[in-house]
Formats: sequence, C-alpha cells, structure tokens
Amino acid sequence: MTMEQEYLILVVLVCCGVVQVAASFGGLNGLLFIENRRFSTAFGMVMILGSLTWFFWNGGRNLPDTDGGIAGASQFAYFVLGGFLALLFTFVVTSLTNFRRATSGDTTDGLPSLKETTFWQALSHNLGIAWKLYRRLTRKYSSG
Amino acid sequence: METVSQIDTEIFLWINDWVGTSLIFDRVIQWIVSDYLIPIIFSVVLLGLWFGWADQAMRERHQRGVMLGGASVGMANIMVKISNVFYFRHRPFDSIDVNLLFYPPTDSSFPANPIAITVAMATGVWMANRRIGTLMYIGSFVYGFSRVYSGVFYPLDVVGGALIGISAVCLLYIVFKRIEPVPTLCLRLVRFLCFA
Repeated sequence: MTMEQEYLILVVLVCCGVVQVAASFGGLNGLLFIENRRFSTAFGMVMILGSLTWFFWNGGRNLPDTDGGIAGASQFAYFVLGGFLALLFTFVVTSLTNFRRATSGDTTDGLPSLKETTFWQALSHNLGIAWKLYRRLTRKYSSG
Repeated sequence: METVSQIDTEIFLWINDWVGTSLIFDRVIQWIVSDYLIPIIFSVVLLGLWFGWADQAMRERHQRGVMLGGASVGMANIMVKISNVFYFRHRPFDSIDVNLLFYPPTDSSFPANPIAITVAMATGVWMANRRIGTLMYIGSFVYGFSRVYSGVFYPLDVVGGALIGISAVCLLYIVFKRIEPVPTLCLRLVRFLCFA
C-alpha cells in the first residue's frame, strides 16, 4: 500500500471516530452507529487512537515528498477527500441503521434535527420544503 | 539585523545541542515533528467542533470559528508563498553543523509554513472557544519547538510563521465582517443541507 492510500485510510477512520465522539457529545443521535452514547464515545475514541497508532507505529513517517512522502497540497486534498468519504459513510450507514428509531415528525433545519431523525430523513424533509417553495414561486410562469 | 540573526542562531544551537541527550525524548520529538500528526489532529479538532456541541448558539459560534480557521489556512499559505518570493532563508543545516532528526527540506526556512498553518487554525478556534484555542496554541508551540529541536527551523522562523498565522486570521476576520451576510448565508445553506 502506498503512503497516500494509508493516509487516506487514516483520515477516513479518524474522521469517522471524531464524528461519533462529537455527535454523542452534541446529542445528535441520528449520527450514531451505536444507540448508547457512552459506547459511541468509546467506539469513536478507539477508532481515533487505533488508526493513529496504526499509522504512526513505526515512527513519524518523516519522508520528503520526493521520496515517498506526501506534499502539503496533496495532504490537504487527501484530507478533504477522506473527510468527505467519512461523512458520506456515516450519513449512509446511520440513515439505514437508525431508520426504525427515528421519529418522522417535522424537523427543524440543520444538525439539531439529527437529534431525532436520520440524515436522510432530515435532508429529504428540507429538500421537500425547498421543492414546494420553488413550485409555488414558479407557478405563475408555468405553461401547464 | 546581524545581531538578531546571531542571537537566533545561538538559541537554535542551544536547543539543537540537546539532541542525543535522551533517546526517548528524541523518539517522541520525531513523532511530534511529523508532517502528519499535529496537522491531522488540529484538522479533526475543527471537525469535532463543527459537530460536537448540544447548545445551538455555541455550535454556531464554533462553526464560524472553524470557517475562519479553515479559510485562514489557505490565506496563511498564500502569505508564506508571497513572503518566499521576496525573501529566501537557508535552512540551519545548510550553513551550520546541526543534529538533524528530520529529512532536509529544500524550501525557505523563513517563515515556518507548518507553524503558520497550525497557528492559523488555533487562532480561528481561539476566537470561538478560548479553552480549546489555548490548547491548540500550546500544541502549535510544541510543534514549533520540535521543528527547531530537530534542526529544520531557526526560532525566528517559527515566530515569523506564528505571526503570519495570526495575521491571516485577523485579515480574514475583517473580510468576513465586511462581506457579511455572505458567511451567514453560506452557513444557512450548509445548515439547510443538514451539514451544520
């Protein structure tokens, strides 16, 4: 495995772990892999510490970008990609696993809605409102 | 100017001379000095602050701090690049005999780019949360010290990098204030998509 691939895996795992810890502190139950908040915090911490230990086990990986290291700009790009993948994975998995637990009532916009609903439910609710608003605003210009 | 450079070199040599005194300490420094460890920890702190607060007002405050800190990383990078066009300082190992614990970088020693980035993140967070921001400043200081200890930066490079990091945040803070309500609208859009 190349250093870039290992770095990407590290970022994905650490970001997944951080989201679990942060979501359990923020009470965002819709983003938790495990229902119990304490377990979620512990699970997130294990993911963070475990992946950091794995990546840095043999030292600080002090290599120049000309000899297997990762240049600053690439590092930034890999972090953005890894963070995005971690969030995508979390949103998909929690939307599926928490579907039964979630309430499907009216949600407020933003992260607070994830206290009671899943990401997919909250997003589709907001997009539904946006679509209705769009239809209402463009009705008078419609040919139908 | 000559005297400042001389003092800078003397402080550098005094710190770098400690290399080899404790093998365990050197090993720890080799971890801290890494291009990856502190930057990734700081980045995930920003991610954690974005999601992790029960109180909505506090969460929004943090999210504004994260936006500021994140954007300042780009600004600090640009400022370092501009500075490098006008001034190039050779690395300590180019001119003096040092104990090197890190690979020899080829870019300008002044200002310290990694420190500019970590201080920019720390300052952005400090504006939203003093306690976590202070911890990040301590982390930046340790990171800067490790770079001097490892023989890749003079102390003045680290100070220069820190000043650039703080300046980048101050500059963007003013810009964000001037272009308001754009940042608020961006935050609302992201909130509408349930990311904030």
